[in-house]
Amino acid sequence: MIRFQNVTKKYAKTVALNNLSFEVDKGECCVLLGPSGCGKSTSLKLINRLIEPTAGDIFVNGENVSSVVPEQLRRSVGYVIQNVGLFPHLNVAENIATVPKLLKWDKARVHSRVEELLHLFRMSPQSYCDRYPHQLSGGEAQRVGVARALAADPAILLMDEPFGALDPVIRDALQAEFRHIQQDLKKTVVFVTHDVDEAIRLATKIAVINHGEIVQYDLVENILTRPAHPFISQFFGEDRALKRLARLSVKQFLRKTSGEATKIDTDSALKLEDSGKDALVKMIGHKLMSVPVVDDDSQLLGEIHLEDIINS
Amino acid sequence: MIVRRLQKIEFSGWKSIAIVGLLFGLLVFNMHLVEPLLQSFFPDLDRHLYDRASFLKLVIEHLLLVISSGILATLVGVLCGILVTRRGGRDFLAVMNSMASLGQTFPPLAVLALLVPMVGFGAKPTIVALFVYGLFPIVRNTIAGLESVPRGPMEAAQGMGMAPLQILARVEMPLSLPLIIAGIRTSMIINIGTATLGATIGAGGLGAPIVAGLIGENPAYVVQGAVLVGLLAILVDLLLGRLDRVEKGYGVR
Amino acid sequence: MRLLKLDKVNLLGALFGTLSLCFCSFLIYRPHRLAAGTPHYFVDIASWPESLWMAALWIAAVVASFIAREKRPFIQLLVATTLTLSLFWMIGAHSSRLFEAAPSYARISLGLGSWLMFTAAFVLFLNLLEFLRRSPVITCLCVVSLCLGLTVIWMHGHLNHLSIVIEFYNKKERFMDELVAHLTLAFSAVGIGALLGIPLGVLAFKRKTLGAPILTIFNIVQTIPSLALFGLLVTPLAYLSLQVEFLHDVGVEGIGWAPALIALVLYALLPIIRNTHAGLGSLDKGIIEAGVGMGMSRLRLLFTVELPMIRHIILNGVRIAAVQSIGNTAVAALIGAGGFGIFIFQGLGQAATDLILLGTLPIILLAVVTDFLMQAITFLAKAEALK
Repeated sequence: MIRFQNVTKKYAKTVALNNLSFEVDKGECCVLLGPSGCGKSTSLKLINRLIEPTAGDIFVNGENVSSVVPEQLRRSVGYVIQNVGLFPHLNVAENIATVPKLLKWDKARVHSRVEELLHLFRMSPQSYCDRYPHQLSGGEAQRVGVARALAADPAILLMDEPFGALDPVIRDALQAEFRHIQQDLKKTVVFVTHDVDEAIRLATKIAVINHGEIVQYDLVENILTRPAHPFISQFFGEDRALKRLARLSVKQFLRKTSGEATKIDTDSALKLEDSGKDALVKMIGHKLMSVPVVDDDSQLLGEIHLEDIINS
Repeated sequence: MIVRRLQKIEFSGWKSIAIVGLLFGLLVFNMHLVEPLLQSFFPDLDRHLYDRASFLKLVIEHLLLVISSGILATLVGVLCGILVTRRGGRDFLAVMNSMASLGQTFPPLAVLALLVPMVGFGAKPTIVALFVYGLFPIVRNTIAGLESVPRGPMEAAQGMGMAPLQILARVEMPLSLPLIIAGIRTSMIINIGTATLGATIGAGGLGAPIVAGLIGENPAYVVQGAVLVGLLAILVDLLLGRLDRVEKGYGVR
Repeated sequence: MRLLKLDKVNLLGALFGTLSLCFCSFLIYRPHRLAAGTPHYFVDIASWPESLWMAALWIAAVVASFIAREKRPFIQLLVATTLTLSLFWMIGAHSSRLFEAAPSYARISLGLGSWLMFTAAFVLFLNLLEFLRRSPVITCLCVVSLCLGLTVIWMHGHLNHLSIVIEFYNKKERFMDELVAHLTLAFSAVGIGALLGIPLGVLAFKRKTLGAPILTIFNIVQTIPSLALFGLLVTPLAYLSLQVEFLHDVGVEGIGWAPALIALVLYALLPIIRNTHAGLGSLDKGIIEAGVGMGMSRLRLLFTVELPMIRHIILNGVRIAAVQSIGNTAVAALIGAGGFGIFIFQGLGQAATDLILLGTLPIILLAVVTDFLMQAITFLAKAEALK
């Protein structure tokens, strides 16, 4: 879907990107991760030609982007930036309708699309359509920002540290919401962040970038278990095993109980949507070697054993 | 007591616009109503009412001077401001800015007088002077406005595929409009005053009774011209201030 | 590649100057003071070497737009300085030459081309402003050499045959009187404005109930055209002067300095009040609370903390008031207050260009110099406040 082929970007004397080659498949969420100033934002802006490469080619859908008119290209690619960039003089509906209007959709279609998107982000059109950006909270504004990027239903979504400026609680909520929406829409996403947890949470694949070069580009699982370079182990930290556990569902460790259903009522019980990290926390907190897993009606489903987690 | 009452009145409200406007209209059309008042103030004068031209004509002359030059200055000024903030014209930004601020320190009377040898007497040099003098605040505020557009919306607009002209028309101009209008307001107010000075070089307008009164030692004439032009300036200031506020309705600032 | 980027502003200014030299009148000759003028072009009156010299300088200025960036400002500055001085020299030389061949009451003034070339040279300097700001030593050298050159040209008597200089010598004593009158009136108005305006600004900030009406009233005053305000004050002052003997004795009359001073003070008040008010509003509340917490009295806090911290903002208001005051004082000549406005109105009355210039040029110069000096003072005050 998106392919970088020997892309280099130089500024006067400094090399921002050096011979970058990688590929993002359809429906994947590729996170470009690295310390600030490593060139990850530059790579993102090369895709919609906000920046032109010094050498190399970028292909979107098999087509070289340099052969597409920049404005046309950008209208077919969603783009979300860190400081949201909502137009302060336009209300929420007009903000979301920006690209559809540029594409000259008819009014009724624009209107129904705006409502659809607001519903998707669980914001009621009646109360939000007419609000102006300064009347929104930070989280709401970024929801509108993502909705605006999705307005013309682009196959590709570029996100430049979209949740970076939000406070942790709201960031968690938005990440969860984004993951949820991404599961439904299956967009091809390129996501830039310097936050390791965010990357692990959202990515299919992670490209770790440092000093303008890709250090490792692989599935999240592989990066966590088999870091290719000391820089990566260091960047992900000693607790990367915990971070990996946070990605794994308890379903993977579940030892199903046989026999009739029993009701269990203890606060050491886990639920199916909890992560391996949650299981570990419960075990430590309750000083147990194994904890039960229950469904929504507190019916026992099975158990998680510490040895399974450690050996995973 | 008075202070407290004054505070409650919002002077820029529609009510005060209506009052000033009504008073102005009343005086323009019915100056003879105040003749007895003038007579009691200046009993020694033979003539009390300025009668060389109707006040309506003077007001129209005055407004024509200010508006024609104002429209021209706005068009040229905004265009200059836009050009020097584009990529190709950015080199001229600093020079344009320092020229505009330097120009603003030039006294209006000096600019007006300098033009007489070049253009001659009458309305023509006045319009040129008003145009040139009106340019400076508009250029400065247009540049300030365009430069103050936050980066976020600009980057978003570009990233969403707006062409440069679309960004200008749909993002930059709407966002810098309050400052541009403030510039036009300043320019118009200064120019109403400068147009009054135009009477000294024969441009007519509401300065004419003042100059005639000062030269002919007829304070009644002076009062009539001064009161009318003062009211006109206040009225225009209030109206443009109102426009300013309407534009700010979405509450960016 | 980047280093060779051409200097568009310099190029435009230089081309403009070159065209003015070639196609616009250099000097204007009038048989007597009020007669119509005949234009003289530079190429017609200058000798070969002179023409070559001026043309070479302008072409050098054009070429200087294309040189590599590191050396560019020096060369541009050198060219601009030489150009300005040469321009003065050429004007002097040719006006003297024309004058010798003419009757003594003939007048020679600057043509459009000369004015345009000065403007073009000015643009060249303006373009170097950023460079000049960065290197004070070179700036000083440049200013000194310009001043020295001009003094030499002036002492040489080179410019004495220009009509504006003749006009100046004819009216030298009057000129000095009006200069004093203009400065006295304008600056005493600003002084009184500051003495009244700063306390009023503080009052407007500390007593919110008074703040809105004070600002509104002076905002309205500011919108009233100067000529109207001068005119409106004539009658009441004449009346007062008749009624109150004391006022009459100190020289207050319907016309003259009294109404002018009052109007000028009224105009000077708004920028000063507004800046004091806004400055106090911009102060960090924490600093004031800290002061109060340390047991400072309100008044002490005002004088030792608040006002010193906003000194540069108040000074900026004073700057605006001063520039405005110089301009408005020119208008005050109409109500008999004196100043350079007298020359302007006399000149307008007689359609005498030289007299108009004798009035306008010093006023513009005064305004620009005042603006510059006040900006420098404000800058220093700001640097100190932020220390």
